[in-house]
Amino acid sequence: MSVTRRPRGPRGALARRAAVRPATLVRVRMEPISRRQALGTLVGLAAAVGLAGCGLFDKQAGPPPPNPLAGHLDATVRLAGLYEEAFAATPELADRLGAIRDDHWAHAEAVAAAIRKPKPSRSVAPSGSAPLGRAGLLEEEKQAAKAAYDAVLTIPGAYAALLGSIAACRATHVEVMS
Amino acid sequence: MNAATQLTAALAAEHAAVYGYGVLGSRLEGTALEAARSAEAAHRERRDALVVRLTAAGATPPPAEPVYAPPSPVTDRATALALAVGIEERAAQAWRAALPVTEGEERRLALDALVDTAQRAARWRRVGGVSPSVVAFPGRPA
Repeated sequence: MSVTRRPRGPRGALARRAAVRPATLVRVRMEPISRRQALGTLVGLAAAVGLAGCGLFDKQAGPPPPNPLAGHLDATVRLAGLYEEAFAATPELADRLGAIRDDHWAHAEAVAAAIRKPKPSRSVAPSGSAPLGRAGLLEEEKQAAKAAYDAVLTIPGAYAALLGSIAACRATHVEVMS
Repeated sequence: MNAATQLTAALAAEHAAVYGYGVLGSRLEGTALEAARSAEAAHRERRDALVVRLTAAGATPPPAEPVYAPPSPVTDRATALALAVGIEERAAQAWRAALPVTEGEERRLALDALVDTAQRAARWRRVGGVSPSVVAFPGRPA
């Protein structure tokens, strides 16, 4: 991101307000502020700079944080792979649970697209443990449903609808399999 | 779109759901009728919770319309079950749309509603013999 694209973020707004209403700014500055307020201001400033993407603290910052959906992509591919392994060992399972396995691949592909990752391959590496039966798959499905549900509560809004649908879908899987 | 707008849209879907179950219940019997009654009660509960929340937030929750026209006539068990699926899908869409613009307790309210509507839609599909009964992305507009 180039310097010329420096956004007019909170600092810009503050500067404008100060220009229009100098008296307000002076009065605010004269008031003692608590450590918590001071920390809050710093955190707010750091967040604004972080969002701007090319701010003062860039040199100290490490690599960008992983996308909040990235872990869900890996977990979803793993889950779909568990079904593939189970079906390879017990083909009859695919008759009842094939549609559920397809849902997991559809989720993995949608999550990959949302975070601009390549479409996941359906030939997954073996998990290294014994293939699961129906009960084992149900247990995995329950855990995956809860993980998605919990994540939706705090994930950024841009991903909330996609992950919400995934959480709801897994909840229906649990009901169908129980 | 802000939270109040999307929650108001969800309220409209809940009003329509309550009305719709009243219509389709007359074409069902036995366990399907019981399921419809319990679904209607769940939608009433969600509707009331929304009215309280929107009112507390200073919004004016819109009342129910006097009448709602089903997308196709409800004349027998099959058309009643199809309407039940449609009601849940429509509500799921409204609640899913509320997720991106809400947070905290409102996000949880929307998510719980999305999960419930998805599960009820899947149950109605099973009752109606629709396979697969589960869809990959509940609430995602078609």
